[in-house]
Amino acid sequence: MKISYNSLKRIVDFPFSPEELAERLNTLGFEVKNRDVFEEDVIFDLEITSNRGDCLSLVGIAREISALTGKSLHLPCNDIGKLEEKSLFQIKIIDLDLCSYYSACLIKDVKVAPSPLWLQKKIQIWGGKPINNVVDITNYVLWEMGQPLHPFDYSSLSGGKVIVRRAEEGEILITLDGVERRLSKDMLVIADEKRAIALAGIIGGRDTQIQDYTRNILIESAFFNPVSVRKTSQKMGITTEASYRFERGVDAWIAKEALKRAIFLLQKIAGGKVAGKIMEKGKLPPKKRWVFFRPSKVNKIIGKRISKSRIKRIFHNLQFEVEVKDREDKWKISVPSFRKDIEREIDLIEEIVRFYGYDKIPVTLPSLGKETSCEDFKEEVREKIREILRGLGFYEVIGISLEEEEIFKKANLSLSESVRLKNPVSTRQNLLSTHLFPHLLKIAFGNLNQGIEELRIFEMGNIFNKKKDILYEKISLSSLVVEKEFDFFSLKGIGEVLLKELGIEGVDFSFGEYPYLSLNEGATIKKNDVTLGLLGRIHKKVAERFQLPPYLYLLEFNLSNLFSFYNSKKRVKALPKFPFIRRDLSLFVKKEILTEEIKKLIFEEGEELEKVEFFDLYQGKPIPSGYKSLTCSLIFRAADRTLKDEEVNKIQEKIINSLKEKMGIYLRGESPGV
Amino acid sequence: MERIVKKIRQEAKEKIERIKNKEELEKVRIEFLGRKRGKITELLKNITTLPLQERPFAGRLANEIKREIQQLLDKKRKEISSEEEVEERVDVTFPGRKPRIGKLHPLTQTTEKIKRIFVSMGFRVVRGPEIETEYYNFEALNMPRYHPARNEYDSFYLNKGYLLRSHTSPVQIRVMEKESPPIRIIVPGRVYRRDAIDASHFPMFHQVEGLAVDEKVTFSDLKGVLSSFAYQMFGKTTRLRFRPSFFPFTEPSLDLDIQCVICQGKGCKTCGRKGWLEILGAGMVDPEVFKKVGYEPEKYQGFAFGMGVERICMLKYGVDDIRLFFQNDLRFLNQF
Ligand SMILES: [Zn+2]
Repeated sequence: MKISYNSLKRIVDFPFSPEELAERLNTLGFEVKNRDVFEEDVIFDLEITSNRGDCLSLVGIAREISALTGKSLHLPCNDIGKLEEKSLFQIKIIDLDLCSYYSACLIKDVKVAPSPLWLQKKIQIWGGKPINNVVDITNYVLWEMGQPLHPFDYSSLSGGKVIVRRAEEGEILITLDGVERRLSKDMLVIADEKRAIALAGIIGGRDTQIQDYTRNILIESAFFNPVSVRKTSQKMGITTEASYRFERGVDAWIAKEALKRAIFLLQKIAGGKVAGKIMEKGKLPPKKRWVFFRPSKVNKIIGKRISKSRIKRIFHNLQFEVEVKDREDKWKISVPSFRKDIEREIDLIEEIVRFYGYDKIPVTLPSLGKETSCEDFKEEVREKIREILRGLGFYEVIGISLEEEEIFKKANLSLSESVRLKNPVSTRQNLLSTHLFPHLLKIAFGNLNQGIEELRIFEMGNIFNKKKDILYEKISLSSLVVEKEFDFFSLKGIGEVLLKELGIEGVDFSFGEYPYLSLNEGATIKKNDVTLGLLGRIHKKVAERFQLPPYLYLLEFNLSNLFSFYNSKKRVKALPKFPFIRRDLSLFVKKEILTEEIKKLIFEEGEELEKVEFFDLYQGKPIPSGYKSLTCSLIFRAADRTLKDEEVNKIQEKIINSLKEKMGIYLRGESPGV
Repeated sequence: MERIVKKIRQEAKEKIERIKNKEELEKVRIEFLGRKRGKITELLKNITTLPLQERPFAGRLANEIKREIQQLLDKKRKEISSEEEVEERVDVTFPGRKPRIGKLHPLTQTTEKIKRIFVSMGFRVVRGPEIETEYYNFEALNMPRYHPARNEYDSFYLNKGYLLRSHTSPVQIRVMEKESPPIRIIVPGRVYRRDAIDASHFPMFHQVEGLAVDEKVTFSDLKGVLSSFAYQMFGKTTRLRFRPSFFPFTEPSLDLDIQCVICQGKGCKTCGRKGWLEILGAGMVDPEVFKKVGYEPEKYQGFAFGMGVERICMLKYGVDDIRLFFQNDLRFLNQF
């Protein structure tokens, strides 16, 4: 909200320069967003928090400065003298729950014209557009006193009656902005005998607006229910200066004062004459309310002793009355009706700190006490995974979890389990990600487009899906490799290293079919029948659709499942005392026999066998078709003695025979080993 | 035979001694060990001409000298090559072959730094779901429906009243419902708001939330913890400003500003000519929130704070467009 330095100073005579004032406003919680010089004046643009509806006016801010400095307020003049006891029109409030107080006044023989220059300037300072003297005056008073007013062209009202009621379902009102609006019955309107003439507290109707030829005007000043105004304003999609203030709570007690101020100005500027008295209906709330307060609580919450006399002075300057019973630690504080934000002791404590000064509160650290800072092992796992992947040359990326349908199609993903936003900003982001890899593909494309030829990226993030209307949220780890000299086994190696580092052993890799992975190069990673993840080459079609090269590999883990198998309780084993003997075997194996099966058989047959490792997998010439060749190295070691060559020879023989008999595997030439 | 061997040994030793480079070494090697006319080769061949009973001894002698010369040659080869390395200097300015190393995303790096600072002050890390209910996202945080403060938390809705959390504060509630004080947690995570994309807004961003509850945690403790954080994050000489603010779930509330890192308080574009940059919001947990989770508000008190990771990262590294974080251009990521 914009505040003029000069106008403010006229209401409360503070001793601050514009710079000092800005500083003080900040320390009171009204952040100065901007400061502009305007002719001889300085205009501050203030951020008013949503709890301080009472500060959305010049008087409101002046009250704060008065509370800070102890200087008295000089409220704008609204002395309109004595009015005739006549009532020329009627007010009828039907829905008192939405409008507890309504006042209005009829002013005759107004000359509608452009405002005088000084008023036009005020309107400009405030950020508005001068329209005519009547409208400008109501806007000016809103800015000055915080009370929204609305002027009607009295001659276009039928029946001499102002009715405050809920709209009928489907009732039509053309508002000031020229929009035809269909109302519903939970909305409050101002009406005459025939129709709605304004959307209460939000915007007036076009038919009753002030025209150049308007002579008689009716000015409304009322209190509307904040929630009702907010609901209607949201439903209609209109926010106005009036609705903004009503939502945040206007002081009902100021309604009449503001109306008088407007009349005062109209008489002065627009030559109007008041016809009859100010008509009022409804009830005003109590002018003040009592809140209990314990001075001792201030120290307890704030951690700083503030003297009772200081506290009393702060309350006094805020126009709060203090009732102290004897020497008890229980005070009664009266809070004026305009301070809607103060209902409890804690709210009073806030006022004390605010005026005492946040900067004068000491800086301490809480004692550790009994708190046990027990680090969550999941954080450890996340950190570990990131560090491992980083060490393996992966860049971490962060993509947005909102997707468009198109991406699902391009990635061969089904939409059936996807979760849709009810109110997206755009259709380009209307679904929640069910997988992370489509982002990664997009990111890879973006980077390849910048001339990078190869990359490794990963993301850790949540993914979402829906099954039978139930929403699920999972944490996923997705990593993508774009590299020419790379293959399935390089990818698998990365997965294996990662799992090993997390202490997850005994993991099975099996063939896995996924619509977005190549049929021949896709696998599922499991442990004890729990799926940990998947890996493989991205399907050629998918790669093409994302305009990516075919050497594209994906490794994904369900992080929640990794968490459950994570083993942080590693125990060190003693190093072996006796030397090992290594034997390498080159094998010709039928294609369909899996390495894992060979390994199993070797272990079954091999005594004193410590480790079997496979390498050099090869298919194609000169290997006869239907076969593959691979090499395995066997490490033999006994725990209690040095093995002898002859001993190992025998075991090796047994293994070779068994491979031959049970699997039809034969050696490619004898290799006696080292 | 013995005599010949002795002579060859003497000769070989002298020649090997005088060798200066690889070429000479190769010449000497051929002279003695060459397959065709090497002196030792000749010697071995001659053995067959000896009487039968002398042959084993001669053979052993010949093999011994062969081994000996071989050893001397090997030794010399090593000497020569190490000398030669010194003689020919490498161009040390030629770029090294770099092993691959990746990078953590700047937002992760920032989050990790924030985490470390608070963990060192006894906070523990907790995470929560991104799909939330209205209750946790708003109502339990003292923001009933139609509360004007909800304006600042324009949320994405899913079916059945679920929504994407618009801040990490719901996790405060989840933790307090499950545990009793003392509590000291921080909550990093993604949040979502219906903001149109521009240089400073993105529909998804990251926050770190903090909460400390006990019997005697005070406002001055809050100032202490936040000051310590700001100094560790932005440097010891950073000037701080605590300003009153408003959040429905804290009372009293504050905003913490640091003096603008760009203009040192003089006022510039980054700080909107204010000279100060807001880095986080905080306050004492509102008694209403304690009531919602079943804590006795007279017994317990505490503070909560929340900050945007993007904002901290942007200020710390001078990033002027939030979209850069989500484009994931390696040339950008590489700079952190
Ligand atoms: Zn600056």
